[in-house]
Parts: sequence; structure tokens; C-alpha cells
Amino acid sequence: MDPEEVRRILDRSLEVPAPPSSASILTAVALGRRRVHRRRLAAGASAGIMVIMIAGLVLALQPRQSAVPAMRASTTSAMPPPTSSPPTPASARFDPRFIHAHIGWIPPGLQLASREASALTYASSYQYKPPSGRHADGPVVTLRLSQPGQPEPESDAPTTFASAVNGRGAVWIQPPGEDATTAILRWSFVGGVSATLTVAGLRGGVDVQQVAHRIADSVRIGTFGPITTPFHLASVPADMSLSSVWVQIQDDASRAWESGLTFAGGGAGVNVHVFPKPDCACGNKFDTVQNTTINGTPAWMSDTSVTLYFGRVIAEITLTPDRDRSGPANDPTNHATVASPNLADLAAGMTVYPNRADWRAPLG
Amino acid sequence: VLANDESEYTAYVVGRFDRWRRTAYLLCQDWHRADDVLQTTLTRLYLHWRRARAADNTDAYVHTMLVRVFLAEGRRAWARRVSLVAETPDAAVEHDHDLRLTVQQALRGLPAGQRAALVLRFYCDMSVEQTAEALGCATGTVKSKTARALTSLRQALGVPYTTEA
Repeated sequence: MDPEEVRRILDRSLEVPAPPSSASILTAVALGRRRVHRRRLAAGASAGIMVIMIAGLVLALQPRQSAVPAMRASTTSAMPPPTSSPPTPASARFDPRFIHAHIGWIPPGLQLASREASALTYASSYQYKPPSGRHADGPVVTLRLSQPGQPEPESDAPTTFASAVNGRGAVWIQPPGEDATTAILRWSFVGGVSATLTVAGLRGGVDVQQVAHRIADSVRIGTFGPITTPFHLASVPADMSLSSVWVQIQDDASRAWESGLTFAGGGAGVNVHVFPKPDCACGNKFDTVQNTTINGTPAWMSDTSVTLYFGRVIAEITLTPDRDRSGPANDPTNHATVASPNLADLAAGMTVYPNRADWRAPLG
Repeated sequence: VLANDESEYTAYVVGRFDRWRRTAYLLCQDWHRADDVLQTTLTRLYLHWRRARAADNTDAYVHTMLVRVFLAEGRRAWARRVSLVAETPDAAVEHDHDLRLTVQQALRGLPAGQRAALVLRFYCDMSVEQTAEALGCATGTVKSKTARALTSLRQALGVPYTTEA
């Protein structure tokens, strides 16, 4: 394999439509300025503290006239540890079709950016609506729920005591490198579901920990209606079950939303991905290329995928490897021998709803 | 950072943004994570702009930052946070889909260090010495990582690899 060949491989892996970038130079400059400012403040504060310490040391070394008897125990005992989660049933699962957290209060101006649900985790995130024609800078508030025993974000990061959230013990997570504009709060609910709330990049110079606490206090878990998506499927592939549902909302001009779900079972998976045809300089990558028609919709069908062209909306249904990477579908040469779900049937039962007002549960 | 520096920084970054984003994607194999890595890199570059500008090769300096942010992110459990999509929603509407999926799977299957070595050597066109400096390891380690990565790719893609669909 010569270098040119490796370059071609790398180039080929780049032949995917890039979503609008959430990274931005303006954000980098704003964050950079803030850090520079904070460094200067910290340097000033350090100098002040040094002066006070030296003065204190000089005073402490002065001979005392009388010894003060030790009258009481130290009032600076270690912080109490957060209360531990109660034992929980091992069979706890989220139903990926539903919203599992309700946030009662969120800072004004933030709006839903994404939801994702699987059997073991549920996440939702919120961001500021970007100015017209601009991309949002990414989620500002993210809530993630994990069933007991699931890996949690920043599980190895240092923690400090936080005041209780609705009577439940809580900790602040402090990963190295996070600045004071980010607060990560973790607590658990009765039943052992763990919640991690991240608040970052809030506008207006607010106390981020106070905001995080207020949001956390307003969070309720349960089942709060279906996750609505811009598509609906009439059936589930045989021998498979719903594995996850996700939706992302990006209120910018090029790609207002993306959504999808996955099915798993029988040593393989099916990935459904629905998105508006992007307005980008993508060449003819998104032009309709048809080799069949499914229920009147132009489509391209291969052994392992179906692409449907619903006018301005494109839907891809793809046979994917099993998550544990042990299924036969993981062998790229072996697709023909996999007991493939009938992708054409699945495609025939798909309807898309580009307008948000029409979104509905993806199944059922 | 003075206003002059800031405009110089902005001019420098604007011209390279897309290329760096693609590099970050090759490292992360996920656009959302790539954007996180790029954002962190851009902020760090802003903070260290004078040092970066004074470097012999500013581009290599930035690639080093990018790779180090990527490797540090990967070491942190936070990298697994809120994977907002169950499967990456990047599947393109292409009809040589299978081959591209195979290539992507092969790259995703590589350990982060091997993938970084491959990207720096063959996408960023950095020398073995520059790559070693970026990864903070010996040149021999870069060579062995690259060789192992190529072996894994060969096995995953089948030999000989051809770009014909």
C-alpha cells in the first residue's frame, strides 16, 4: 500500500456530506478573550493573596501574650459526601420511543436542539437560536440520563460536594481544563437513574452553578409523550426491535433538522437517517439517482441500502453491522449471506413530514 | 492578544478552517466530535497565537495542537458523553456506499494513536520526525504505529485495495 493509495483511502472516507460546522472562529475569539481576561484577574488576585499571606505570616510569628485554649472542634470538617444512590432494579430500561425527562425551567432564549433515546440512556440538549443565516455554536444545556451501571460522562473526573437536588445528593464534576463558565452537576433519582447536567457558555455573565442548580431542581423523569420525528415507519423489520431514536434541530438555513432511528436484532442492525436535501456546494452528490420506484417515490436500491428521494427530503435506510461487531454483517464481503431485513418493505412504509408542526411518533 | 494579532489570527484561520475540519473528521470519524476538537484547538490557538506565529512551521504547530486535543479528548470519558446519535448520521447518498462504509469502518477500527499517525503522515504530509513531535513519541514509534495501521487497513480492505467501486 503506497502513500498515494493511503491518501486515496483517507480522501474516500471524507466523501460524506458534512453537517454545518458547530465550530466557529468567532466563538474561539470570544472564549479566548474571556480566558485572557480571567488570567489577568487571577494574576492580580494571586498577588493580593500573596501580600495577605505574607502579612499573616509576619503576624503569626509575633510572640503571643497568652495561649488561647482550644475550646471547640474544628468547624472546617470535610464536606459531607453526597448520599449514595439506592439499590436499583437491574432490568430498568428506557423506551426509546419516548421523552424521559421534563425540564421545568431553562434560561430564556434557549430552545431544544436535540433528543436521543436508547434503552440505557436519554439525552436532550438546548441552545440559543442562531441569528439568521448563522450556525448555532452548539448545545449550551445538556441533560443526560443513564440507567444504573451505564458509563457516565467524566466518571473519572474530580468531584466536589454540591447542595442536594430535590433532596438527593449531588456533586459538581470538575474535569481538568473546564473553565468557570461551565458547570456539570450530577445527581440521581429514586430508582438509580443518574442525571448529568452540563451548562456552558450562557450569555449575560450569570452564576452558572446557580443556573445549573435551578435547572436540575426542575427536572422530572418519567414518560412524557413520544419523541416526534420528521418521518414515520409503518413497520418494524422482522426479528428486530427499536434500538434508538434521535432528532437534531438546527434552525439555520441549510439543514433545519436531521433525524433517525436504529433497529437491532438477528446479528445485524438497520439505520434510518432522514435529512433535508442540503443547500450546499456538494456537487451532484444529493441529486436523485434512481434505479427503482417505491410507492411512487424515486429510489436507489442496493443489497444493503435504500435511498428514497422525497423531493426536498432524503431518507437512507442502511443495513449496518451489529453493535457487538460479531455478527456476520460485519464482514463486508458477506452481506449477501446475512438474513437481511426486507429494506424495501421498510422503505415502502415510510412517510416524511418536513414541517415541524407535522412531526409525529416514528412508529406505531 | 492585541487587535493586530487578532486580525492576523482570524485571517490565518479563515483560510485553513475547512482543511482543519476535514483533518479533525479523519481523526474522529464523527463530524460532531470533530467540531468539538476543532473548537478547542481554535481557542487554544488564539491563546497561544504569538507562540504559534513564531513557530518555524505554524501549520505543523496547529496540526500538533489538533492531534493532541483529539488524543486528550479520547482519553477522557467525556468523549463518550452524549453521543447524540446512535449511529453517525453521516452516511452519504452515494452508490459506492458499501466501499465507503468499509473504508470508514476500517479507519474507525484503528486505535486513536495509529489513526493520528496515519492522518498526520498521509493527509497532513508531515514527516516522521514532525509526526513524532506532534504525538510526543519517538520516530521509531511513529514508524511502528504507521506500519500497524497500514497492516490493519490492508486486512480490513482486502489486498490489493482498489478505489474502483
